[in-house]
Amino acid sequence: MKSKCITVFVLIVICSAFLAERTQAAPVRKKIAIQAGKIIPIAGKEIANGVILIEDGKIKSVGKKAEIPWDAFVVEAKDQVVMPGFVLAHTYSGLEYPNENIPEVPFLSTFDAIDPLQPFFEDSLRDGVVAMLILPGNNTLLGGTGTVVKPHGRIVEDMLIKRYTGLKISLQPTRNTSRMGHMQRFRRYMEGHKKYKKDFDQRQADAKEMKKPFDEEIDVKRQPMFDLLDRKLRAFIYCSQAADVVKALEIHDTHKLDTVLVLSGDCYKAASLIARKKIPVILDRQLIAWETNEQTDAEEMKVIPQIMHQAGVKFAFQTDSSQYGTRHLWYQAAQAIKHGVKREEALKASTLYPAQFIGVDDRLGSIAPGKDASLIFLTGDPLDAQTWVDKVMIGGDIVYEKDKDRRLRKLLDIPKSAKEEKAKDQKKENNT
Amino acid sequence: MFGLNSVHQQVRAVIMNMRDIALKPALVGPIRIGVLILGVMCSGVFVPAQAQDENPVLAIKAGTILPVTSAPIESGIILVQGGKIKAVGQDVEIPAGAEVIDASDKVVIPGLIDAMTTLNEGGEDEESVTPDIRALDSFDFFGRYRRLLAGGVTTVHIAPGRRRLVPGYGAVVKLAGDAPDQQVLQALAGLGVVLGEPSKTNVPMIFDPPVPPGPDNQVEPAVPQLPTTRMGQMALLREVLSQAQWDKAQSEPLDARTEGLLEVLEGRQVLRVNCHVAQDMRNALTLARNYNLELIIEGATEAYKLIDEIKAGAATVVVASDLEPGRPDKQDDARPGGDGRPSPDNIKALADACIPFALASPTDRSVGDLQFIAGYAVSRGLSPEQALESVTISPARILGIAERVGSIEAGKDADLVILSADPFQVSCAVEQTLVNGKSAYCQAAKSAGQEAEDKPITAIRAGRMLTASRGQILNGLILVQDGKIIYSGQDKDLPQDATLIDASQDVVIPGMIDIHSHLGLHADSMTVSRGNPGAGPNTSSLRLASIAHAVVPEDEAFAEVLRMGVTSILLASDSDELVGGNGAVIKLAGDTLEERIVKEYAAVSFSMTGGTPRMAKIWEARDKLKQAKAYAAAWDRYERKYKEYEQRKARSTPDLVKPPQQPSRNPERELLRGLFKRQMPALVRADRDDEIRNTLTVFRDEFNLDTILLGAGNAYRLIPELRRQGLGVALGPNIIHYDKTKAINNAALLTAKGIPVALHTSASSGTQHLPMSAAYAVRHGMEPEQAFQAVTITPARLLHVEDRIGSIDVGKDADLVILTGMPFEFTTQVKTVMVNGRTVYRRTTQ
Repeated sequence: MKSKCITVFVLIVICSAFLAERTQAAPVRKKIAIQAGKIIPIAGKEIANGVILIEDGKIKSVGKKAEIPWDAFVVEAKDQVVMPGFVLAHTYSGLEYPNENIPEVPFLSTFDAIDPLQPFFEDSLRDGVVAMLILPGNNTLLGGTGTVVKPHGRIVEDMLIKRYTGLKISLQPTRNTSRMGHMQRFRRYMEGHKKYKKDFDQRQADAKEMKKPFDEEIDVKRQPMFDLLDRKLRAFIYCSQAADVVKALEIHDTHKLDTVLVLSGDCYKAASLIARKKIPVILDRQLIAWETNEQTDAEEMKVIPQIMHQAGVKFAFQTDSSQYGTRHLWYQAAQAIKHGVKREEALKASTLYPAQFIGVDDRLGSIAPGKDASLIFLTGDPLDAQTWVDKVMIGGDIVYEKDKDRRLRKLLDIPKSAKEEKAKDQKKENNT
Repeated sequence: MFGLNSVHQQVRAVIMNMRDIALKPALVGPIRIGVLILGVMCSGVFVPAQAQDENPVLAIKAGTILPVTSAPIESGIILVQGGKIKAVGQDVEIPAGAEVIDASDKVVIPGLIDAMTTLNEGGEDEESVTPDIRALDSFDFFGRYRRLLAGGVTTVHIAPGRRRLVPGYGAVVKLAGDAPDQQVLQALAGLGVVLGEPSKTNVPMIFDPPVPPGPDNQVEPAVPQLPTTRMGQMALLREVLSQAQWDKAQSEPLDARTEGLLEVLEGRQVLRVNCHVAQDMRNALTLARNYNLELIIEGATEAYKLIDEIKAGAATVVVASDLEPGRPDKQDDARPGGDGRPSPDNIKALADACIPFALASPTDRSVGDLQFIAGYAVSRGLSPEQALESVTISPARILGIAERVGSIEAGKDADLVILSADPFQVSCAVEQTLVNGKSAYCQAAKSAGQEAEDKPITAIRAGRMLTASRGQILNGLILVQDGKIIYSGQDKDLPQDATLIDASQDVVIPGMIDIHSHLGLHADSMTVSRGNPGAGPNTSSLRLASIAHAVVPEDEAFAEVLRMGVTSILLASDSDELVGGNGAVIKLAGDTLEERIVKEYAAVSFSMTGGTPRMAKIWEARDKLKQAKAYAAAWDRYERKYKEYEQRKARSTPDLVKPPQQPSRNPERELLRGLFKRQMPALVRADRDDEIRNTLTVFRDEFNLDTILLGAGNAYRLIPELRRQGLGVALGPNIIHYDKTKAINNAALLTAKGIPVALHTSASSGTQHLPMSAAYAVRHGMEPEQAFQAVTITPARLLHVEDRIGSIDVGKDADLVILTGMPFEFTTQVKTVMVNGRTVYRRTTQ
């Protein structure tokens, strides 16, 4: 058994060494110029036939015309659309298990559980996502802190964009507790935290008074809570129903937090409450809800992004790997536009806004000088179902090319062969 | 406007913050009440002065007003502004521009208050004593309270639970309002205590592991907690109350739990003891006396036994009605039980002793019947005035919200109920309920007269009509009468009185059909078996049973699927046994099951997959069919002979002819009998080559049955055989089949060879994705027209129901779907779905 394990391990090491050689073979280019058929910078108007200049992985300029330096590597994309890569503001995919068993574990970090080999990352890259915040799941009261990663890299350190981002708070009661008990737990935890802080400060003051050295450090397990209350960590509060939003706003007010709400399906009912507090939200994967009108008994369609948009709530989309459409950010944006949300707003809700929510908007979310060259090259309009992500560039490196996507190629051969076979059959029939 | 709003918000903020203020021991009761009075005064002074124009006035002209706190007013007027009652009386002038509700032949009463409910979401928490639990945390502000508002109930007290000794603080909320802060009347309303059976049975052990456990943090074993007896209840209550007092005296830092207890001990909050038996009530009174607490007794089923003591203890009572109208009463009152012995004279006894009491519904189910319950109290001797008070001003006073609600007086909240008659007439109905001056419930307008006798015609003008049987018709017209299609063709003049549905920009298709689905069966999708249900399906005990009766017509699973344009399904069980029972073709809409059934026995499911050993399955199938065939033949013969016998009997004397001998009934073979008359097809699940081949051998070659292949992943390899046999294939739920790395689209390959193909989902809720499955097949090379037929006419033909459904033809059921574009396009939306000529879904445009 042991020897088997070792053999497997050795094999893995050899394989990864090969892979490493392949991926690292691409030379790091200092200067890159992209000639694009169309640029959607998100910040600013769309540019037809524009040029993006990149130096050391950062965008240097973007515009209609630019002088291309003689030593720049030129990427020709004259028939393509270039836009900033999509950003996912909340996911708990890519982890083995997203929730700890015990409700109060703010000291956990998703960094320790990200599995770079999960197909989720490969799919995300294929769908044009360049950054994502991975937070603990929705079943833990104080679930732990999140990690911002790019979906490219063999080990977590390679993928890392930002550690220790956002603390997950979930208002969905766990197992046997009631909603009341859940809130009681939260209040008790905060009370305990306050007491700890008071005692700590007291000890520190006493030491000062006695002129003794004070070398006690803050309990590592409590550090995230200190940072949360100091607004150094953003709270991502999950609301499993509309009534939870009321509680989330109460928590937001009493502890003066920096909050982003993660909403479930029926939270659109609380849109006006959220708008009043000007708190950004991450929408549920399902953008459409059905409600029976109590007066007329008629089924009414509620388009959640439109309701949020009208209420004036800033939102980002969420995706889901289990269903046809909702696993793509472009599909979410297209669905929102179809039901009356402005195109600009919907595109922002899948790029710039999520980047802001997770605190990486200084690097990602739009095409502007100084930002990372994390771009996607599309074969057509981002909201068209027939558009493919042709290339993905992260930090100036092209990390994905559709032509080299072996898995995709295998999938795409399918319809072709079926059609060809049919054509052949028809030919035969015609001949006979 | 701005100034007014900010004043309002401040007042609300004050009220909302009261809980926090109340928790600080330094700020005591008088300040809180002062703030509240100040708030009320502020709104009273500023509202009319500043915002006359922006704030519309509502006037209600009432036949009779019952203000509760004063004498009834005949032909009175109530003015409402900014959610408050501005004026009440006979000689009130209606200002110009005011909205008027004419209720001049109706009766107006204040909104009813139920002082004892658990309408918030419950749940069981572990600890016996939790004064830091708050009922308000689990109240769903966005919940649906229409049934309660329809009963005239506008305000309720919600309890934090009834399973633990001290479950926590209740709250008082309104059941309607624009925002949560408008709905909360009291965030903390009385500390609940539960005495008697509920809080001493099933008390859990406390297990609280440290996080993370380690050498310094050791895991303690689970600890049992009090109480499991009445002694334990009282001892624990005394312990926690005394401990709280002691903690306060030691001026130790107090936690939320202790502060919650001190609220009651220092008189800022009341103690609400839920108890039914006289003994428990006595205990509650003793406790209140010992600690000098303000006491409300909830429930009070046996209050009539200790009227004098309650009076001496100066307790108020929220008494639960002994009648729960229109619902079963399971308790045997003649034997002493956990909830005490109810007496119909309980309420009267409290009233006669002048004990302040509120009448409440016994359970959450009957909160909406509070008005009826008050009527019942009248029948047991209460005066109508007393009865009305006991559900309006009395609970308001007991709960401490009488400044806001409970009567119709100027300055109070405009929570009003408009009744069709005097509140204590049995036929009295709530016509409208207002909360904060806004309509929260309005009785639906009665349908104007009976529907016309002659059957109305509905006409649908279709820009493009995909008939499924006759190709497409541009600018078509469909006429529907009595649920059937009476015309389908080119546009022509409409008959008179026809209602027109204009779909001239849209595409009309027949409702789609899923040829194999478990929709609506939920956990019952296993086969129907006679044996022990726990033992799983057993082929030998399968019997004929109508699967259509296993679903309920109003099942919510159906609505979702209808919205996607799927109107009929073959409902079948999910089984891998050889014989899987029979399937029924049902529609997804219709008021009764009978209306929904297209064909009750439409197919028999078989499965040729699996089996140990696999080879045995073919022999098993052969045997089964052989027996069934013999059985069918015997019965056919008998029926034929019986007919002859009847004819002969009519001709000659009855004694001479003997009836033929009846063969014995066998429910299992009865199930298969329809197959041999070719009344229904056999739906055979087969996936691999050998399974398909075996199916062909047994079902077609040997028994020559009408057969549909189900699943058929490898069907593409057996195309010539399938073609020769003229077999139908039901493909799905996997549309694409992988042969090593090659992907095979069975649907495209088979239809190209002229084999009839229907698509199915074999899903429960996933049946809604049927159109997407077809779209997926199209994306991978299937002709759109073939795909369209695969979910419409082909399944109808294969199941022999093409005379009813599957295409837009004269004489068929009017199951129609109006789409915004061609089917299977991502951009296409379902606009309208019609089943049996009735619109069952219409997309609301935003």
